[in-house]
Amino acid sequence: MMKDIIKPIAVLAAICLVVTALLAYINSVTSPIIAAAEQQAAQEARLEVMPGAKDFEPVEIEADGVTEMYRADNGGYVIMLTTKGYGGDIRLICGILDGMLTKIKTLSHSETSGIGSKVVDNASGYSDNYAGKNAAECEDVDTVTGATISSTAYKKAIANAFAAYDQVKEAT
Amino acid sequence: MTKLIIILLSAVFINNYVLSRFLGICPFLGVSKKLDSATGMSLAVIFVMLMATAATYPIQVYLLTPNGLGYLQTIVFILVIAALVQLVEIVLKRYIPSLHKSLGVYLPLITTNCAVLGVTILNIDEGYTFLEAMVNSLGSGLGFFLAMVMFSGVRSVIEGADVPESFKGLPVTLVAAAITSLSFLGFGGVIENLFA
Amino acid sequence: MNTLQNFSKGIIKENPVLVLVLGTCPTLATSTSISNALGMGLAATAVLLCSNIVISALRKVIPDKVRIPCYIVLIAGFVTMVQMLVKAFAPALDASLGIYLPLIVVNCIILGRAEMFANKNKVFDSAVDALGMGAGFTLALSLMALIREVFGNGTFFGLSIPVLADNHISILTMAPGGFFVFGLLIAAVNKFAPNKPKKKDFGCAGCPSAEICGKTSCGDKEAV
Repeated sequence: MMKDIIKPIAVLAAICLVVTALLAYINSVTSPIIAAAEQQAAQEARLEVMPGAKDFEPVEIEADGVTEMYRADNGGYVIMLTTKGYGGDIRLICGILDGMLTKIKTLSHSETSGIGSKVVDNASGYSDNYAGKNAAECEDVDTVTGATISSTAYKKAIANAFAAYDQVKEAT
Repeated sequence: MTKLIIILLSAVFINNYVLSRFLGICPFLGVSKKLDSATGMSLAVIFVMLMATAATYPIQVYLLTPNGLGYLQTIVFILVIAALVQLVEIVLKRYIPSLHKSLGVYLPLITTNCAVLGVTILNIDEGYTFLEAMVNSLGSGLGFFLAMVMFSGVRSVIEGADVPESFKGLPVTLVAAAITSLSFLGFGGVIENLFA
Repeated sequence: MNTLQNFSKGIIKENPVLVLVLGTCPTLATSTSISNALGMGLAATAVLLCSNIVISALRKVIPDKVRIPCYIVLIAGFVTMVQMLVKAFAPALDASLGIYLPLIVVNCIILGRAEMFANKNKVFDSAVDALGMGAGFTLALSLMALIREVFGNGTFFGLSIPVLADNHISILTMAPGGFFVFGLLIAAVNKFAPNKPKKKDFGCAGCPSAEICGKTSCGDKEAV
């Protein structure tokens, strides 16, 4: 009777222990690699939208649609944004230098291929319409026909980025 | 408040677990033949999703993350859900036999239902607060319910239809699921703009 | 059954996706592009191989009563390992598979093979079985992804195909397209492989986990 109860518990516990120990070991090996890869990817994305900068330091901010914000050493700001498109969240990263949008890039999206993707796909070239423009000029950029919701979400995100930029500028 | 409503409605309509995220397809195809079994299964799923979120969210936030044990998430969640389902079954059987009779048969199936594990993991990934996580679980469960009930209606029509030999059974069911899922595409982008 | 038969049954006669209709969730969700499908197939195969080998090796040690919890712990452990390795060495794949990577835990193919094959057979045979089933899963997934990517997106492995790229049927890469292509594939299997045992209607009858979740839960209303 005792054997019937103790053995299953002992085996299950032993398996749990071994599995956890193995996981802890693999985690200790992989986590530095994962962290380094993430850092590098984030740094590359920041450099892409803010060419010419070398170092970025995070800025504390509470603003609509802004997930993270960084101050670049050349005086510009890099802003990570999230906005609701047609198929779910769209995550964007953009740089603003002297009140001008340097570049905006999509990090992830789930927009409809062939429709909303014309707006958010980095390869589509739509984002080039905004590069080098200030807040008012960005608002005047044409939306993509047939992809109103994706375009509106995109423009809203850009407006949010400028709002966050102004907010930080005023504070400093 | 608006955020909660958006989360709820998005989970029900836009990111419908079955029809757009493809989670919980097995029960969706397996138990949707009759309306009463579809309803029973969905109610059990809603119930377990809420319980599972209530149990796993605090574990992740107060136990795993602070101790740097985030990597144990999958293993801990699946065990918690399995234990929870067993517990719920025992409690229901003992104290609410009538409910157990209607939901009980579906409970064991739910342990290996990816929709339940999926919702608990997504709640963490999305960085929801506890309240938002619960609302998201409720919405996901309701979305599952809606898809199941709608689809059981569609299937009762298919049963009587004359389909080509090789399409009999599963293939025609999948094609019908495709059309049902098509109808949900129409919700895309609507919810956010309700409050814009 | 010799080794070759043991291996090839997973690819054709008992193809987990197209004949046994298991693992439908990842099949539908990750077959939007060929590279995703291959990644998912390989990840699941790796987990299946490890779990089959270990479960088979421990089949005399694990008491019958707690075998399911033991299997789940082992499988979840392997899934987490694969997840960490993918995150570290193929972050792009991790990003595109997202939630479906940890959800390999509840892929019924893996628990099903543990319950139906690995706990009754020798380590070597279980490993071969896992490789066969994994290959079958990967092939079926890639076949679906091939159709969906080529016609839905007009690309092949991300390279755009002339003519098709300008006239693609976007709906195929969206959710309804997944159901639709899967339905057509199974109809094709029914049509061109008529001598295989007639496919049961979908339900727990075709699911090896039926044994686990108790006959009562599946049997009564869905009996075929």
